Amino acid sequence: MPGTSLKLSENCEKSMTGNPTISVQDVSVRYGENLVLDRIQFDVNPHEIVSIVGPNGSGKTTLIHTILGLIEPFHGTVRVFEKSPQSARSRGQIGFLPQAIGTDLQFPVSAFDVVALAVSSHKRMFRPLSQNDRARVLEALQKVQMEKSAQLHFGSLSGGEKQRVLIARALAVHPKLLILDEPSTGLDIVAQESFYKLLQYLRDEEGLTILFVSHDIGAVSGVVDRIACLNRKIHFHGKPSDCIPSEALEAVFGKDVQFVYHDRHCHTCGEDS
Amino acid sequence: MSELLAMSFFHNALCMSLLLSGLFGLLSFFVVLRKMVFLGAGIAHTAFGGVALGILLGVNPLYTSLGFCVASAILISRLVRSGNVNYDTGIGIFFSFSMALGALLISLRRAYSFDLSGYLFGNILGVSAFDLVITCITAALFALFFSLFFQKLMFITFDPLVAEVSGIRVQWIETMMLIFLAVIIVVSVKMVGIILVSALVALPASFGLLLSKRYQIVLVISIFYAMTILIGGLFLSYTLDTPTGATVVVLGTFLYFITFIIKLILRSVSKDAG
Repeated sequence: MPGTSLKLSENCEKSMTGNPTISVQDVSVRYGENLVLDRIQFDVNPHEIVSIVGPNGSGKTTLIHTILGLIEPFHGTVRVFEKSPQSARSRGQIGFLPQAIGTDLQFPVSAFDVVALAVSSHKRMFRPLSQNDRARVLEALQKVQMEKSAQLHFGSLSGGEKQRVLIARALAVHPKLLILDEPSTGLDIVAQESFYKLLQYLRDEEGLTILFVSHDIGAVSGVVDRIACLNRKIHFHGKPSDCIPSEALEAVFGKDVQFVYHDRHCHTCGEDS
Repeated sequence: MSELLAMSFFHNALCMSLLLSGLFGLLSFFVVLRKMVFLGAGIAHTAFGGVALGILLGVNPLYTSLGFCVASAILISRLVRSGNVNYDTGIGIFFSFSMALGALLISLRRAYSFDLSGYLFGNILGVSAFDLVITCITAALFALFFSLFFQKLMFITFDPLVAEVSGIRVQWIETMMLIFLAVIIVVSVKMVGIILVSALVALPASFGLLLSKRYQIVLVISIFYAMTILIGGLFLSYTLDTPTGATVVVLGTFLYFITFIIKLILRSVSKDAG
């Protein structure tokens, strides 16, 4: 039966303010005969951090690409800011960090240039950046604490630093929604910790709505407002403190996997919302 | 030398070299960084079928090869994008098909002899005033396209997926770029040759990348390098009486490897000093 796998927690509904930023309604996606996403249904509300977790091959990136309008679902609808994803994209409302950039590390650009590309790509003619644009690029680099490395060659930065520059690129166009695909891959524990702090800062201080994909349920459970466990279907959707049922975890990750959570909101989840 | 400069065919070849320097200098940057050099080679070989068809039908081979190359560039990119054909398989099939078709068509007109080696390896005598006019129009259109879409092209070349999410019409701009790649290759084939033109796509930006990590500088070096090897190769080919395209490519490759070796030596010296 459609939607039976969906479990929205009451706390989450309580925290809803206005219309959802992302609304995924009964979405199914197929690659040929292969059903990759099966009747997915979930919302992301304004100013929330939501993580989609699941093992490799569970359809996480496909779901992200469907939300971005890069893949058309054969069933169901996706709305972003109550409009089609394409419309949200063309209005510059979405900042996106892909799983991996398909570029050559030799690419002759500095960290500053990478961010400037996003700012200047909407200009009609080839002209130098204005003072205003430069300030915007530097402001975005400051938010991710990379302003001192602005003139360094992008390819020579470490994995964590590249990640920050690419987040700055997503932030430079002043989006309202940030979508990140496996952002913590390749980061060490210290870099991960500071990355999650940055996400919380962006939600609290910049008012951003953030959706990100992760394969590591343990690491994200202390950071996010809500979690969606995905393995072709959504097997759980709610607060990480809502004690995810063991059947849902088994359905997503298999029987032989043990989990350790950060449960920092467990006693206060009612007050949080 | 002054006697050489007074000859009209040499004027044409010199003007052609200057125009092609700008075109390949800029084009090479995007093709190399987007890893599409093999596509350039594929498109160039496709021109052979077009040239043969033109000769068979008695029309200017420029028109038929233009049609062949633009159509194959668009078709290859569509097939690859649809996910039905792998990128290098698509190119491999198209270019051998077009070469084979060319050989078949030429065999049908046995009585007719034409400068096959000129088309394959380039000939400065082959550049007519008409070719020059077509190249001027191509250069003007490319300059317009380039100045309108430079920032977007940079973004697409660096990260096509995020460029698309940012609202850039990636497919449209990439198709335009492919059409320019095909047209520029076709207009340069008479001088540089079908087999050798892909070197002009690969070498200029690769040389620029050896010397700088800033795209503005790489673009300038790329244009000056293309100018040096095209004009240097032109004079050398006349002096040594060798095919123009082959001389340009050998000169360019030498210049590239000498610079590469000097760079390696300097790097190891500075490491030792450090």
